[in-house]
Amino acid sequence: MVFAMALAYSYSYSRTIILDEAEKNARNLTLSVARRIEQEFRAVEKLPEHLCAFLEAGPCDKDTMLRLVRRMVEENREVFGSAVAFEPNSFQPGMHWYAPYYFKSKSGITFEQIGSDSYDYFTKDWYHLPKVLKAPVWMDPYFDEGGGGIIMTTYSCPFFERGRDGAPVNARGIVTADVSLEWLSNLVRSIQVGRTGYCFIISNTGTFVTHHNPPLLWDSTCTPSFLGPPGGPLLGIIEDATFKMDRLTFSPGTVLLAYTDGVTEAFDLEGKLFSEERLREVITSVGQKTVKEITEVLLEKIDSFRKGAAQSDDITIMALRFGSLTSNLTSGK
Amino acid sequence: MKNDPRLITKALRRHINGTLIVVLSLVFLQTVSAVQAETVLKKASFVPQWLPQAQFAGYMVALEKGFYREVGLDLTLMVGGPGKPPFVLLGSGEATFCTDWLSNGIEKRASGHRVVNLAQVVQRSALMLVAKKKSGIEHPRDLNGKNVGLWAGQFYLQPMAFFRKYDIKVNIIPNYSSVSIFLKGGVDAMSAMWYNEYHTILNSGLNSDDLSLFFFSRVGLNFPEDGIYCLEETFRADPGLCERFVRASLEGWLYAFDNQEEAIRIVMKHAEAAHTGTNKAHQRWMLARMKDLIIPDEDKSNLGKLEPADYALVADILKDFRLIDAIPQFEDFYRGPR
Repeated sequence: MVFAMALAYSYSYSRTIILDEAEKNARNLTLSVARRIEQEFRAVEKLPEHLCAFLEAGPCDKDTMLRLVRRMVEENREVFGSAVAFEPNSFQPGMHWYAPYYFKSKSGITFEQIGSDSYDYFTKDWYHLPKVLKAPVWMDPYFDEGGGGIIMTTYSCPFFERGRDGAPVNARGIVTADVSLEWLSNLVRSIQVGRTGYCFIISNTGTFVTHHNPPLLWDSTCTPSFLGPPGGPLLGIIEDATFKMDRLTFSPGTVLLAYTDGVTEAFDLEGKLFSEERLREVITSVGQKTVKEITEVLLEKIDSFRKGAAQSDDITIMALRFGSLTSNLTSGK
Repeated sequence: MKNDPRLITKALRRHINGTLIVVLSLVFLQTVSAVQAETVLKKASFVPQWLPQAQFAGYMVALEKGFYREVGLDLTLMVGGPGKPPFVLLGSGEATFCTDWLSNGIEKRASGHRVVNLAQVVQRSALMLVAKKKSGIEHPRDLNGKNVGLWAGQFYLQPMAFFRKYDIKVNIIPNYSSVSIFLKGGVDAMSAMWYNEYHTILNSGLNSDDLSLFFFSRVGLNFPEDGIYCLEETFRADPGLCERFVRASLEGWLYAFDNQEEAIRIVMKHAEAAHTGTNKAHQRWMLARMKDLIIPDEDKSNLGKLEPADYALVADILKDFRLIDAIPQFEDFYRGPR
């Protein structure tokens, strides 16, 4: 009887210690991953902050300023675009809008002036918020209609005329660094958390900025890319939550591949993940086959990768090809 | 008896001819009635003051359910929104009818635009101030010295009258199209529409318990909002047309309130066509609030009516703030249900 009681006590005590340790480890792991992501964000933040400091330090001629903005976009792969948007009459008397904007496009680094009657940047959150807060702000993801035409998030940093004590007096304008959602998604996907963990980013207003298992999309060029999320609160958490819907226009031949995490989180005998990178490699090699063949090849590749290891999660794959004569639909389990 | 092929052919021809005459007569009659119906229907167009959403569910439902056709109207529902000021579209003849706020209608009339109110659909003001309790705001006077985000234009009037009523001085921060400035702490309070921004704030993670709500309608500043307008010349030329448009529109609203899911499907169809990026849950909330605002306390006896006292309140404040020089006569302005 005494032995049984001692055993039960020992079991309960050990269990509590193990659970506490596991929780502590998980928390530390989460913190370390969050810090790693934060470092990447900090690197982006430094760029407009330095330019703001330069603009506040003294007079800066137009050519120098344009060259600096262009270099910020050209030399930093994480920066999709950057603007220096001035207050009315601040850049030049009589000039209501002045906002040179450089961004990456298919033809290279593109330049646009983004202020106009139809795009009054003073009323946009990316300009108005940091000006009111007198502090830099990361924006929730939004579709940029000002020049980029992509879903992005922006780090907006205000620059001021400062008083003798260094306190901000009047806002002169805002410097931005735009980060594409695709870059953010890639960053988050590249971080492996434990064996089956994954990362996602939620904005401080509860919008999901990135998540795992994004669908793959490719066209006739067969360069698959992961589809970024439109952002929004987590499903099922808030009653009557508001969700934003986005539309995609597929050109004929475009393929959409949706899958469950049993695909990317299939393990081999050594505990290695199949991973999104392997998924992308498979698709690059077979993307032009019929959707039935694509799903069959993918299932075969997962099977051969596992080398006999048990299936870790359910596997569902759905491939859709839009608008070609040979289009068909299939799924595999 | 032998069959004579000539007799068979003759009988067959007679049969075919008879059938043809019947068919042609039917087609003719149908065409005539269709043409008659088309000629009876009167063409009209309507522009709401904002993008397609449940704020205008009644009009969309009336169109989809054929209520306008039933009263002899061939109505074109225009897409409203930024860059489409309703009274400008009335003036240019692009729209026969429009909706807009009562304060806008009075201001237009007072400034010489001969517009008339055909129905005051929204009886209660949905405009409110939303504040965070953690900013120490629980009573109107707590707003003193705080940063308050306000929209420009007519949205300014009630807050300014509210601040005056409670003898409050606030730092006004211009607010534009989002609630981010409030969520990120740029302002302690902001103006919001009960059926729109307030719901967005709740969906951004703030609980109603964390918020102080100041409804202008509850502190003697009820400005009835969306009303139906047309030019006075339109009303004079064909008062029956105006009465029929209002009747069908109000019928649309009542149908929408009694059949909310069907109404939401119709609203979503129009919203999706206009790419507004909304969703059913938000529109469901909006339609429920519109019911509270259009038939407060489920009392349908005042549906579509403009009360002289409400008119006087809004007009007096417009005059106080020197937005109008003189108050137009109620009888000249209002031509709706009594």
